[in-house]
Amino acid sequence: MEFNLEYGGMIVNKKLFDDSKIAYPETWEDLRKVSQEVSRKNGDIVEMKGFEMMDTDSLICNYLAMILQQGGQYLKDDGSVDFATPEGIKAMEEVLDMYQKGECDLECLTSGEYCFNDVYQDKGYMASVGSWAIGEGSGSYELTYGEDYEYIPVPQYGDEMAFASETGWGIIVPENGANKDAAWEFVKFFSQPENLVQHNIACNQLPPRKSLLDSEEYKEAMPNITFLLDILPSGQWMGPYNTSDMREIFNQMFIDLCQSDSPDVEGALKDASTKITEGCQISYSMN
Amino acid sequence: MLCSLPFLERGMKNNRFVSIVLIPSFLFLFVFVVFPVVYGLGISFYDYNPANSQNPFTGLENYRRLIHDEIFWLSVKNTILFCVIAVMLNIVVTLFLAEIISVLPAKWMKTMFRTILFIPCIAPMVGPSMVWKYGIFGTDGGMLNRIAGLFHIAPKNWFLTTWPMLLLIIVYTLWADIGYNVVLFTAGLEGVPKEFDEAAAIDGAGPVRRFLWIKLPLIGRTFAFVAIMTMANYFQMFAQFRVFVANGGRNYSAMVLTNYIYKMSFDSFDMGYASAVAAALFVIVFVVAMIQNKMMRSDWSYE
Repeated sequence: MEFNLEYGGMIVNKKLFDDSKIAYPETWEDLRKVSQEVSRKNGDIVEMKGFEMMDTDSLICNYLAMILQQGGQYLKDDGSVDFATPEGIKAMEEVLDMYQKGECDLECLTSGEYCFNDVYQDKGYMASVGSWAIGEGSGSYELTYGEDYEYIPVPQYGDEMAFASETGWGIIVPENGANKDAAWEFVKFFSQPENLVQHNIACNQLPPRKSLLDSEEYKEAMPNITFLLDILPSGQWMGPYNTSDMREIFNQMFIDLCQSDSPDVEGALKDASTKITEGCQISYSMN
Repeated sequence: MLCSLPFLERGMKNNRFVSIVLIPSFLFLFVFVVFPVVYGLGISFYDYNPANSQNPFTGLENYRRLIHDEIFWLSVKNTILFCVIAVMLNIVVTLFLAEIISVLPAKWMKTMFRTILFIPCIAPMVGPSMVWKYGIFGTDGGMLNRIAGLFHIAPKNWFLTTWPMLLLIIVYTLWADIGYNVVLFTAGLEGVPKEFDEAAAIDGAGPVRRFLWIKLPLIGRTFAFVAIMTMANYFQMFAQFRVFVANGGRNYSAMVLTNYIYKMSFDSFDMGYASAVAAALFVIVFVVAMIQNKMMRSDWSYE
């Protein structure tokens, strides 16, 4: 149905940027500088957030991209996970620094909300999120794209573009389903290229097939996310893991690091890697 | 012998009538209680996912996994802790409120207070939970942090805490649930013959002693019913945990068995294992109810 990419783009609050007379950041250093300049912390809350990526989906996706962009790798040949590499530690220290400098808080991570809502509510300047969130601005918040907000690339952290992604959203037809034939008919209809493109345009999603990446109809309708199409060849699969469980372990580890007075980054990453390797490998859902 | 025949006939007719009347209830009980329980128990012996075409039989594997699952044992501990504290507080608070209401002079006052306290029970648990999550415990703009702000205390993210979060959930549960028990206790207290209370008063007993030594023992049956039902009910509390701490809170400090069952089923799609956890919860509730039932049995009447 659609390819799911939670890395690469961010919603920006155009009005806040215009009012502050600040240009959109184009490099990682710019991003951190702007983020520190505009953020305002009070207790456990950052009342005005700079760059946000601390929610259930964005945190791990951005972190994995930061490892890969340094030329590192978290997936080992035997299929296990290892975040405690030099690149993994450096990336985690960078993310931790964003929290410690008060650029963003843990509210979204603990409440299960998405960071982009803060941007739409004028509580944040930038939030990393998949392109699907563009529609939320006009649909849920009645904002205008181009006037109130925009969707732009997240400046890359390392020298080369790279990221890891889950698979996407699809349709399954259970073997023992009562209306199996009718369901397959629907899948065939849905899978027609023209129908897929229409669905992806309507939902602000990326097309699920390589053959659709050059679709003029799609590019014409979605000029604001074509930059995501350009980075797609640099992606890798996140790995044979139940990513819900993987994210949960990772996010709990991150919260603990943020709450610690003397965080042991390497130890925490090692521990999380072991837990994910041992507890999140896909077995049942791939049958 | 001849005289007893019409009685026998009438008795048989009554039995038939009772049986017919009970059929819909038994059908309902079988379809919505007995069948799901047995079916769930069966699933617990499989590596079950309804979307899979094959769900292999794994025997006792899910139960072996339970024994080594740290989060499961943490959930058992949290569930028991929640139930013991919340049920005890519930009974103390509801008894106190019921006693106050029962001594109010006017009937309209009793009705008014009972209604006010019962209102939260009418709403489904999810709605008020959402209101409390954002409106009261909310980090940004929640009432607790607003009150803290009046005293120049910086806002706190309550969802980052461990035992305080569980305590806040208990407070919410008490608010949402006390009305029902207040009504039951009020009815129980009003059923105690006034003579006992008056006789004790003449003997010089104060209101506290009269409540503790006269009324409380005499509402033993109501007390046992409330304690058993509330305990069984609290073991199955789910909505507020799912809303406040969907992932079990910081380091699973507020993870309870019901939420763990849901998480295993619909986040991890590990429904065989979730059914094993559900079976464990069933056994715990059953054992606790049996113990309570034995401890609180009362064989007396006012006559």
